[in-house]
Amino acid sequence: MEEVLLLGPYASIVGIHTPAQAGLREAPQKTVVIMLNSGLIHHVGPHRLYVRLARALAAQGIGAVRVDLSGLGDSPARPDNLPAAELGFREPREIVDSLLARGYEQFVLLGICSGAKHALQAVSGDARITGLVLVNQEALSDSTPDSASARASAQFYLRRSMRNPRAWLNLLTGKVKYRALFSSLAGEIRRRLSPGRRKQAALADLFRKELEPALAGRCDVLLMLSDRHARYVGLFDDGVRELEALGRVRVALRADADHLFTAIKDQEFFVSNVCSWVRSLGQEPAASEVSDTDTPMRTYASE
Amino acid sequence: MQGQSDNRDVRATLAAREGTAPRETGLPFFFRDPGSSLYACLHQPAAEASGLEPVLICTATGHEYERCHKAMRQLAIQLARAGSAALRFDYSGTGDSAGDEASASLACWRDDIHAAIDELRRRTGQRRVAVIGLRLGATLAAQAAADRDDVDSLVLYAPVVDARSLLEEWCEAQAVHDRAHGIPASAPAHTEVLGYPLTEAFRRELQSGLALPAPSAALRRALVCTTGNGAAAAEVAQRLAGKGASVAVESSEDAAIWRREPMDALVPFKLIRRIVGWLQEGAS
Repeated sequence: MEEVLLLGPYASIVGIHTPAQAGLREAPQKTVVIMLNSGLIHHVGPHRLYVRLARALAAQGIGAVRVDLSGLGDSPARPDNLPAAELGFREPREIVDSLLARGYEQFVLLGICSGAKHALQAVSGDARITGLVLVNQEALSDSTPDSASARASAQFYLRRSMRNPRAWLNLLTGKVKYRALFSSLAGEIRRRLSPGRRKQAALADLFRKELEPALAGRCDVLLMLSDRHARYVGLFDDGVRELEALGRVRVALRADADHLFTAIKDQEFFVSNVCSWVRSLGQEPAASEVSDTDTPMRTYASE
Repeated sequence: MQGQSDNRDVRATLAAREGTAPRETGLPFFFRDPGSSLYACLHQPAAEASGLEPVLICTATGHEYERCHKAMRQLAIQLARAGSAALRFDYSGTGDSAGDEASASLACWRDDIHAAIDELRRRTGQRRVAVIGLRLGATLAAQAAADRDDVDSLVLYAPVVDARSLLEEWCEAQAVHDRAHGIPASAPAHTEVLGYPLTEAFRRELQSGLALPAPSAALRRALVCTTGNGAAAAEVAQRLAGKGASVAVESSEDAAIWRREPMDALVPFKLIRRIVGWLQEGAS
């Protein structure tokens, strides 16, 4: 049974609460997943993804609240003229304040794109937030050097084009820019032959730095990446493993999905992975999942 | 009952919001039983007893719903500022309302419109209402209004009357998305459009379910807003004028708000002002 909540000090934040289904509420921890706006999309999420996720979580005994930060979706603006730059990280904490009064004890913030950025900003110094689901967080891709971004894109499109019959037809009928294509291919070959290639693994450090606010506390992180974001990680062979080796970060890649997981099969991937991960929070990994050569957390899927 | 529970919640929290957010910015709630509950948002007029009829807004569906949300909220706010209570709601299986998209149907959505009109009348205490519909919502609103004697004014914003054109437009939107993301072309029979399922049952229902019935004798005025196809709008206007209603046509080239992605959403303020003004003219 879903209900409307008016959250925050001014009751200006509209939230739709989907409580855990009767009889399924977990004990003793009471976890709630707070879903933040993805850009300007209102609280139902892109293609109603948040509604589907909230109801799937509820069916597994986990509560969820999808919210509109002040001034977005169905929420009016705040009366205190809080600068937009502060609103993104302050309001998630105010939502946590409000939900504490409803008996929740563990808080997971979920955001796509700008929502992920807000979630990561909010967790800094707030120990009540024990989980983050960061989907295609802009900061991660922003932190990659331009050359790396361009190379990642070139590799991605090259691989995709090789699987596309139309691209081959274009190649054979002169509908491509041959100079740009050969320049890109030559650059890739040079890079692969370069002894300094492994230095690129340092980009994993950049990713780790982005996650520092979460990892400094007791927060676990699910990084879900698709589209070009997945490309950045996929570019560096060791990047994903290094992140997972931290033990509290799990990475789920879906390179063929677009930025907002539009295709229904990609939405199903999104929902099932978030549900599984949230359910696993606070649980020790099963002994069979851990070995000397494996990491405690597993990647769910890759391209 | 969900509605009762939420009313208590809303009353409890309203005091906190009082004085911090204008009434016209809207107050959300659920109505109907939990299994079939509908999410709605009531935008109350800034001043009581304006004399204007309350307005129900029937939005677009599928990916168009998402793209038009901001504009429909602004429409509701502008109506409330002008003195009309305005109710927005999500059809079953859309937005925050109960149900999933795959089980949605035109018949179910028409029933939802009837329920929303009843809810609007109950909450405002007024007997007659105006209804604004957008895209499929416009067609469904006209169909629902034809079965009632309490709809005084009807605004049809780009009503859909041709299933083939609608499906072609949706499939083209999917194809544009696929091309932009380098996805190989889908099979000719699309089963989803920009993240929303397109079932065979829904396609069949579209083929036979978009006809505009003769309007109710209670319909006094109608406004047809078109975004280009003047001939189709004239045909709709002619149909609505059947029983003596006064019908106007408004053309606005830049009002195809459902074609723009949410991050690039347009609020067609000029057209919104025209709609609000037209409703005010009817009251005076």
